[in-house]
Amino acid sequence: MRWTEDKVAILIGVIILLIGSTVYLFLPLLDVYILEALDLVRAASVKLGKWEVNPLEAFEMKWVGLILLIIILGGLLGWGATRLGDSLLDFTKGFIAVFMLAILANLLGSQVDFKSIGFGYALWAIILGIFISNVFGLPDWLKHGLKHELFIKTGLVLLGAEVLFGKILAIGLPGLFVAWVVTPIVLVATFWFGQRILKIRSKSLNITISADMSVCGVSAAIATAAASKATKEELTTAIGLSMIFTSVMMVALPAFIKAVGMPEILGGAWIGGTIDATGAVVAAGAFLGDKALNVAATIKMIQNILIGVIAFAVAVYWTAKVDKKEGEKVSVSEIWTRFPKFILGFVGASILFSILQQMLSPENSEMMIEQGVFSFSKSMRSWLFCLAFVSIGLSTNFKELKSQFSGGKPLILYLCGQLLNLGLTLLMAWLMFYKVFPEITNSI
Amino acid sequence: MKRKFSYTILFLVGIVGLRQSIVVTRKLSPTLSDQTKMINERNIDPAVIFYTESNEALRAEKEVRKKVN
Repeated sequence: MRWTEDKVAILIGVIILLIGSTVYLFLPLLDVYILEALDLVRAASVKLGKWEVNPLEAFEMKWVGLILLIIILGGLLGWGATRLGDSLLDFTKGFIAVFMLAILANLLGSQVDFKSIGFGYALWAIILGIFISNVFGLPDWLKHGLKHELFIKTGLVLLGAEVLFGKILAIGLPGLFVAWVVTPIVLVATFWFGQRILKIRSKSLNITISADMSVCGVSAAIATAAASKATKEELTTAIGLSMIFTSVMMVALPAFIKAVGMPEILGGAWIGGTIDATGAVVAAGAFLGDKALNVAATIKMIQNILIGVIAFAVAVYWTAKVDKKEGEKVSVSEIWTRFPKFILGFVGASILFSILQQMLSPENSEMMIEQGVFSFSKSMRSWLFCLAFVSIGLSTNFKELKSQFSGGKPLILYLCGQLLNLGLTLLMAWLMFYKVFPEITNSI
Repeated sequence: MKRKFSYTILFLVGIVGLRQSIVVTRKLSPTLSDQTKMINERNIDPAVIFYTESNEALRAEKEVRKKVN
């Protein structure tokens, strides 16, 4: 069997999901509880604690978990690297250095002041990587650990499991209209604007910015960039724009809503549909009140689910249209050959866990899947994304990154797309929550 | 070597400076200050990138679903 990066990513993703599912789902369903295995999996689901002045506070009770994590991830990814032709020793040396930087990025992202404005590990990982590679340069031994595509693809297979389609009707039809009708319209219109009006040279940069602005920030940027084979500089540009605007909108949008006296539910729906990242949506919604928080977070969650469909659609469009040479007819088998197969792992995990969630009772689904399997898989996924961002930063040339911003086109694209998003989402939220389905608004 | 050292110092000063500017802006802006207070009180993490990482988002969905259905 010829191993490719996509196949390796899918297999590692499946192994991680199997570990989590065995401990939290399959064995408990058989009434079997292996406490030692449960403790190990819990310990490996490590997230650094918050700290204000003393960074060591972040590591309280986390050392064992971090060691377990490096063994699990290092072992699985090391196996993957050997399948792809690297030597295990070379990969391990580089991987340990990348992992140490990922810990540092997580540490900075756990500082309470940075956290409060939404500057999480993703931004710090990229900044640290760019700083080190552009100031000190990279030794050859470190380069073997820079497998950002493998890290991202594996992380995306795990993310797929968290995309549960049973959630899309959580707030009824109004939520579906705000999140699933406006978002694709904004995405397509922004992409069209970038191609036809701004004439952005790179289609993959255009779609990555359009998706992170219209869907759900960093996670959408990662999925779309991988599906459209965007370069690491393009992904960095999209993530940088999203994080800066998210931290501004998180404060400015609720302040504006309060100032104009907009109803709480309308404000919540507006926030949920327009602010990129889930965490920032929750913070902005909570600033308006509990009703706004509930509506905002639910709309954002429904929008999160959309990334499965968007990533799949972008992968198909890129394979069938964008990668096609002029005048070339692409057969179905050719589309299949070119199609990024890890997307199938992403979509497959989503469908499988959506079915599992529907089969279980709501209580079991919450306990075994959301608080069980996902507690392990989302921790692994976060670390994989962090490793990917460190690798991206380490292999990014600052001059190349700067050239992405030439003419300010990415910034103009983001701003114009976001303005359209703000207008359309507000209109749709008002129509759905106050004109078409007022009874749902009254029940909230 | 001297240049690398200067860049490193500059980078570290930049991180500390960014943190200080957040603290000062919060003191000057009542809106930002109120929001940070609320974030701390409710233990919200504004840096999470997906709904499954946010306990508030998961709780909100369940509450809304119960009220709407």
